[in-house]
Amino acid sequence: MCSATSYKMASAMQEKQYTPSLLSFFIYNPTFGPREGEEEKKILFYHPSDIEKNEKIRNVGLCEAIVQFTRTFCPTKPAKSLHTQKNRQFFFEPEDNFWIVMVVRNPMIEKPNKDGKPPTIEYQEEEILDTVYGAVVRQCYSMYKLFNGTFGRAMEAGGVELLTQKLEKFFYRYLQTLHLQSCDLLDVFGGISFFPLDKMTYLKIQSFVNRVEESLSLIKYTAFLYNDQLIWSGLEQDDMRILYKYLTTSLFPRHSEPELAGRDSPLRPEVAGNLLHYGRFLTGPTNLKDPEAKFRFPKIFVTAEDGYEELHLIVYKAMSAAACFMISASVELTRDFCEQLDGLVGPQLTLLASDICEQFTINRRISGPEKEPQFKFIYFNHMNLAEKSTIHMRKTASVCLTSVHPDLMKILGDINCDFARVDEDEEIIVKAMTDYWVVGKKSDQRELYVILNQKNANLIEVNEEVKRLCATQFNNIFFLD
Amino acid sequence: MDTSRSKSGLNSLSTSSLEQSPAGRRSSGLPGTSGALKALRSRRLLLSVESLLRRWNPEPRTGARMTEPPQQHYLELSENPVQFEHASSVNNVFFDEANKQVFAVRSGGATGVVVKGPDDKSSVAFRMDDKGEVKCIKFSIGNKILAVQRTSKSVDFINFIPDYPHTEFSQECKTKNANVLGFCWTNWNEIVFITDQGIEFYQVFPDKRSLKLLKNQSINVNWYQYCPETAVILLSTTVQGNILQPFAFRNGTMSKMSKFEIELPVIPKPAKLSLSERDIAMATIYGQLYVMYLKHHSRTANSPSAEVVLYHLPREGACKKSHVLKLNTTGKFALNIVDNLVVVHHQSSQTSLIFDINLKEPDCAVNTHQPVLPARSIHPYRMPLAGPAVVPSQPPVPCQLYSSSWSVFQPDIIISASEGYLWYLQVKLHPTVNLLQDKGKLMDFLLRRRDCKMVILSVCSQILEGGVKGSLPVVATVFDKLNQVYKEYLEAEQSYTVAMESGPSRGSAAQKRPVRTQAVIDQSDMYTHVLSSFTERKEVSHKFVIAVLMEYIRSLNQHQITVQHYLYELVIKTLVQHNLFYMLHQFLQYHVLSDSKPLACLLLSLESTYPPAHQLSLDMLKRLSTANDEIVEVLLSKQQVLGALRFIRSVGGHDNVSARKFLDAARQTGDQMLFYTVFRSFQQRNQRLRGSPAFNPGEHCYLWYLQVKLHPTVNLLQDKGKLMDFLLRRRDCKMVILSVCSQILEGGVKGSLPVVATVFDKLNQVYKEYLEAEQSYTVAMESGPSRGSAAQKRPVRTQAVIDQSDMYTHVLSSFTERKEVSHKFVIAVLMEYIRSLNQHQITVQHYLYELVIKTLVQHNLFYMLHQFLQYHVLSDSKPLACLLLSLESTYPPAHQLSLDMLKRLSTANDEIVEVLLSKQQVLGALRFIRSVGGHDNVSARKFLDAARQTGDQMLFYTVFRSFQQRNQRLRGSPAFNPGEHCEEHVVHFKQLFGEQALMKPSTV
Repeated sequence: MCSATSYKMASAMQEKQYTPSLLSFFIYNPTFGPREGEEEKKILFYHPSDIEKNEKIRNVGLCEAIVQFTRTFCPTKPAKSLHTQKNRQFFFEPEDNFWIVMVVRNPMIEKPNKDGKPPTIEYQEEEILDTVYGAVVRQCYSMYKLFNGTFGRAMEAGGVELLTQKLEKFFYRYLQTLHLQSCDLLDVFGGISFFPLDKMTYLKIQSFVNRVEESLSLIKYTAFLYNDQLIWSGLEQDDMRILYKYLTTSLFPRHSEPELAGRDSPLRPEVAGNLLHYGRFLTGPTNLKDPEAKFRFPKIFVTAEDGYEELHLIVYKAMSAAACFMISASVELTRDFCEQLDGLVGPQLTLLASDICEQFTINRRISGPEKEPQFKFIYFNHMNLAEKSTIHMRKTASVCLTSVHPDLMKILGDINCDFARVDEDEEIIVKAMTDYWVVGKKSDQRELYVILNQKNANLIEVNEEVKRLCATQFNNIFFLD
Repeated sequence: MDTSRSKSGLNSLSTSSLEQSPAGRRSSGLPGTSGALKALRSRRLLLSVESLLRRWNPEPRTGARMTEPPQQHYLELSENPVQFEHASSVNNVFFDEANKQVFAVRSGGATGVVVKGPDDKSSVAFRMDDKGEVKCIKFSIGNKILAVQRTSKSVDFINFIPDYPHTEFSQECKTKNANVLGFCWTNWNEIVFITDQGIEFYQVFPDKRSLKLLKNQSINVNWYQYCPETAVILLSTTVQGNILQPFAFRNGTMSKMSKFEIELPVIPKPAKLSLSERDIAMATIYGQLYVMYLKHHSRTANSPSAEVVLYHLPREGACKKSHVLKLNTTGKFALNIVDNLVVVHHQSSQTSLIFDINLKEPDCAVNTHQPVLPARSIHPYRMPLAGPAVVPSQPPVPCQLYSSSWSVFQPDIIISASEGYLWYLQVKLHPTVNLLQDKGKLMDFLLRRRDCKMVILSVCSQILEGGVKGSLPVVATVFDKLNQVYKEYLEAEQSYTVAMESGPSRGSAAQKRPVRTQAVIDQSDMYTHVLSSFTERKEVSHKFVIAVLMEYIRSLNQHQITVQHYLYELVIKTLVQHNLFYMLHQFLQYHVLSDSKPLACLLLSLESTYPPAHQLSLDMLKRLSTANDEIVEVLLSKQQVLGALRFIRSVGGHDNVSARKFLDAARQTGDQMLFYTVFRSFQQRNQRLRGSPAFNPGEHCYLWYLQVKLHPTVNLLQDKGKLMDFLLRRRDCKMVILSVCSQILEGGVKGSLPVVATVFDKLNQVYKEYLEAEQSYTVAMESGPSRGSAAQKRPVRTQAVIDQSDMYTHVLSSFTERKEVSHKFVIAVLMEYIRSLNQHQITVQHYLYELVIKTLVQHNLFYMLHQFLQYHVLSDSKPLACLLLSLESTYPPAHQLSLDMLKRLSTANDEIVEVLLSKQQVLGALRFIRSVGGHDNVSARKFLDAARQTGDQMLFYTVFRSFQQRNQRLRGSPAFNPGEHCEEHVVHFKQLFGEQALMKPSTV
């Protein structure tokens, strides 16, 4: 399953560079097959599935052994990752005795040899970061939990059989969307990008949400997004974090492509005579008028006071504004309800979307010509999970593009690790090999990473430059410098 | 023919004979012919022939409204009507719309005229001669002059001004052959006669008893109407009577306004008078003068129902037909104006309708209005039975409403002449609330009413508490309407303030301060009466509560009204109550809750339950940019001293910041390097600012000087007592206090002794308190935990407790050794300290006495010492006694002093014996020990030793025999016990005095 994903032309020789890739991904529970000869029962999911059974058992057994071994040193914190020359394994125990293991092949360079000898392979063991891929594993679990609830829940409902079914169904598709080569600091943060908005427009959105929730009292929670950025969440922060991830990396990109397509493109969904507004369902029925339309929506699990809560997820979008309505899964959603929602939300959301758009352009005009940030930075606030990056391009379904070299991204990751180790505010300034300056600042719960391309700048100038950035971009928050 | 009478005040008048008028009376009932709009001015109302004479009752009888609530009556008659003698054959009643006075004229005035006004001040009673039937009677404004019309040619005048002649004088109309239709006062001395051929405007000179014609205008007049509020007279002209000519009067001038035509439903042929004065009324509505025309559609016309047509009569410019009120019925009507509402009474159905011409009707054509509310009758009313013998318990009788004997006057007056009542019509707002389902329209309606505030607020509460589904848009609409009015008021107020500040010179017209009507519902009203109680209701979902609060804030924002802090507080409180911290976070992120210091403080207080509140609060303070001090405080409280220092530098506040605060915080961290850094940073600042690293006295940093051992003495706080008070409350004060003490003592400034005394007293007060606490703790512990109900805590010994040992070690011992200080001062100081300790009932430690004695002895002040001891200034103690003993060589009396002391101690018998023995006073010692009863237990050997050392054999013999006797007495044998180690002395005795001298053990 490993695949060469990108090629680079080296100076004279033709070197092949391989980015990190997923070798295997498996989930097991050691308590399910404690006796010899029953080892296979431990394995709940294994990717790639075409691996020979004994090898699966061997790999799982190895992981089990490593975890068990390291537990003797620190019973509360068993091993999280295992570094080897060729690959790196990540262990994660999301629920008691359930282990998720992800094996990532290290990036490598293939140097062809003369005389027809087989090419030498150089593994770059230190190029990948534990924090980044550890976060990826945790994200996998969170995403599973969002749509399926905990492993324990499936066990209660239908035993191992149901659980393996669910895992198979979910991870088969999900793993294909993992793009390990483009994982970076942002995956560690798992932040939410907020849409900047003036107070009045924000209050209008509030008013809209409240009114909809009042007139359609089935709706339990509402989230409001614009331009793939969050504006309002009725869900708690941790649930919103993963739902946001799903919306922005999966649901929206899937639907934006048809939107971007031309009016007459066959990709464009049928807009059934709704001339009054631009509202449409992103989940559930694509066309309300269709007599065959099914009114089934994806179900999600969020934390509630007593464990979890199962909800229908209705995502409704008009132009760039998207509203997510969440309704208790115990309620059967009918055509009537959807029509009612369409009729109520459609026109209002269309109006709001154009209001927001208008406000946004006004604000951008006010904020002046330097809307193109000269600085490349990543900002993250642990308190509200707000993230802001001028390094990353617009996320699409397929890839997450960055505008800087992976080496720099790795430095950012390293600085992040340093920050995680201590509790105090600190500042780290690094001069990268490529003449870039990388500055990391941590103030209270906030982190800021700046990449400066000033070859001849000295430390003082870099410091001044960062201060200027803080003064312009973060003048309304308390950021110690 | 004049008949003078004795006068007393204004009530009795000289009366002159009156001519009998041939002209017919205008008596009129209400409502008269079909659909007559009743509008009578000060002509006689009703002459009813029925009647028993009712006696004049000076006390107004209060009527009572019936308390049946079945229908929602939104109109009512005033509670306290004006009562007057009802109309009868001998009593004519007139009403003057200008002064709102009712005149009861009995027998043409001969038996009295009683004038009743809206208040007692305007009520008058007087008599005048009966000179014929009175057709019209009115006071000028302020009751200055009375005008009476008795003939159709002239009007008579009577002065009511004190000291002016009271004789009547008369004025005939100027126009030949004209009949006077009536007259109107436009001022206290200006009057207009309206004749059938025009109007005549006069000024009255009461002193000269004459009138001067100011202006007149010839015009054919059918009838006239007068609006006293605007002083406009409306004349009906032409044959049909439908061309109306208004005249306005002001300060002696008369101006002709543009005339206008009332559209008649049917043009009669041949032409005849078709517009009755009963169908026309004038009134001001929303500050504008309107002519109201009650249009009865003729039966031939298509639209069967009647309507009221309003013509707007501006001061300048043409009169325009502006509003049409649809009555949707026919019959007899009468009009009132109450609180800018047009009230239309319908007699046959006994109901009334109200119209608000400013209420926009979406479903009607422009300026056509339907009734605001469904037709309802006036609230039932009961009148108390009147009569000479009123029984109090007699129940009041219901009053017949919409009676044909009612007369209706503008704006809001209803008179029942036959019963002698004048009521004001009133609108009750509460019943309207349930009659108008459209809450937006209801708000529009209520906001224009006078006493609307409480009703509006209760409507708001009602909407919110109803919690009806889908009520949020209604709530939003209501809030928007309220805030629109609120905003307009705020803007007016602001522009007034600006105008006032820029001075009167610029504003050409003196701007009037805007009146705050009841319709201005500000945030405080809303908070107090609606929101605070609403948010506390348990049955309302918190989601709805928050939605409502956000709607209100949205509406305020939309109207650019600054939201008050308490609203934010309410939002936060509600969110926190329901643990909706994330929601709060999002609101703050978008600045929905505007930044303010109080809000930031509130957030800070939430930190314990919601840690991110700390960050939110700091961000907010940062944005405020005026809250740098607060930020520093917050950071320091979190022990982020360097962060605070960096912050204050970055905002350029380093130079003015209080160094002490930072140093305090730095010390609390216990991090010495940090303290050093901060201290140096401030020293550098001082150097930069003042050219010296020293701190200013005002910075109260001397503690830190001492701390850092820089310039140990700075006279920062001159008042040492105050300084001590300050220091004693500080945490790490001990060393500083001690050094201050040293400083005071070593300064040796003249007159410093009182200061020293004060300082010692302050120190010892604290010391004493600690000792007491300690002791009561010990007692409590000893008595066991059973007695002390609450577990007593061991008192904490703070650094402020400076005990004698501290004082001795750090201050006094070194002080007494200083050469340059006079011994007198030294002793004075020591004595002060001892005095202070004694004053606080603290046991003085021996070493202090020792110090005193040492000092005294050093300076040979034995006598002083002696005196001190004599007065027990130096308390008795064994060590002191020993010390004294040691002084014996230099000051022999010390021996005695010492012995005295030991004696006083009473536990020092052994010591006394030792002293005596050491002085070879063996017998003395023996006698002493015997006297105190210690002889039996005393060590014989000590005495025998001492006795042998004297070399006095006799003494030795005596002592030896004495102990032998003791032994005999105690043990029945003179022999010594082996443990007494007296063998040596027994041998010595044998050598000296022989074996036989030894006492034999007695065999008795």
